[in-house]
Amino acid sequence: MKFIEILLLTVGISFDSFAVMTCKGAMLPQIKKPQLIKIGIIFGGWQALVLLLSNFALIHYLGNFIMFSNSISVSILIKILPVLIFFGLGIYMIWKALKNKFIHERREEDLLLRDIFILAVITSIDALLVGIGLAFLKINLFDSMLSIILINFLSVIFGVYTGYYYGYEQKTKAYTIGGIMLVSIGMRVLLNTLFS
Amino acid sequence: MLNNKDKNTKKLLCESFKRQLLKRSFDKITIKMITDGAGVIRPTFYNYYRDKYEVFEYILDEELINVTYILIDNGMEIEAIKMIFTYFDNNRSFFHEAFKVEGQNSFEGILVTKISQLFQRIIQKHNVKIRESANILSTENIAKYYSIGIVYILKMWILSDKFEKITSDEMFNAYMFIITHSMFDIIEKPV
Repeated sequence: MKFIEILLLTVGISFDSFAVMTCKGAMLPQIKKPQLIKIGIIFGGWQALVLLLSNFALIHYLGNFIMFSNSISVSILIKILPVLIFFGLGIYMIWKALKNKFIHERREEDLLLRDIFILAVITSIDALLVGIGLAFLKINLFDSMLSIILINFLSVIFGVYTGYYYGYEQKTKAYTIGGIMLVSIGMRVLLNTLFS
Repeated sequence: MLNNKDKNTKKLLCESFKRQLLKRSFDKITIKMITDGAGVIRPTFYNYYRDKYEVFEYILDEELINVTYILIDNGMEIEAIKMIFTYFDNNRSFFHEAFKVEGQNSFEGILVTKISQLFQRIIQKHNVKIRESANILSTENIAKYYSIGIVYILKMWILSDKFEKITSDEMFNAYMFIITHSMFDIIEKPV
């Protein structure tokens, strides 16, 4: 997998954070920039951390066991699991877009950091799975670390601004784009696996 | 205190909300739709309202409740109640949609609260005491009881096709008869 594909995958899952922050931004009467940067660091940083840690942990601690196993079933699992993860997450995001859940837009004076962190933990399941999926593809994210952190940080900032100016309804587009990106990458991995 | 420009913007947002409610259900109205209709940027909405429900409160206060308070303060209680019926009749299509908003912050709930406050004002103004046989109830309880009654009549009248042709005068007269008579005066035995 090329560097650009890793970045596209990161952008794909960051659309989930973007959508969540769009809903938060839609409740704000005004954006306080210092607070937004803090949120970007906490929310975006947590997503990046989960993605990187799940990837490193699997590569370093479980890697030897799985990668060098001679069992055929394990080697099939290694090839299939990333595809299933990317497809699954992509389809889940598209489903969320189609569901188009209505949200009660109500003014919130402030974004509480505690609430943001809880939201970040809930949303980071996608990042955890993608980190695992990439580890199965023997891709170490260490080299892409800075880009991953930056993408996640920016997704939060742009998400809040989009919600603030254009409303939470923009989340549907974010889920659709993110979902299509993840499914496309899943497809690419599947084709690579089949024809390599 | 709002200046003239703020009052205009608040009114524009309110008018836009009214137009939206005639086009789509309350749940599907977004703040962006309201601000686009009013020709202002989205964040402006929160300078005037906390959420869509507060627009309902503003509409009721501005167009009905404040005027009825003036009538009550001038000793025109019956006219105030009559005005409620006339106002709902004049804005029938808007309130037809408004009454469909259910849940914790239903329009019906907002209206009950507003009219209950209005009835409390009438009770307080006349400085009356609750009779001994009902004095376990507070003035608040009694005002709420009567406000639920009038709101039920309004809702039934506005939502039911059966009452579509009933005028505000007819409904007002029926309502006044109900609240000024006992149940046995209202119901007649068939001859």
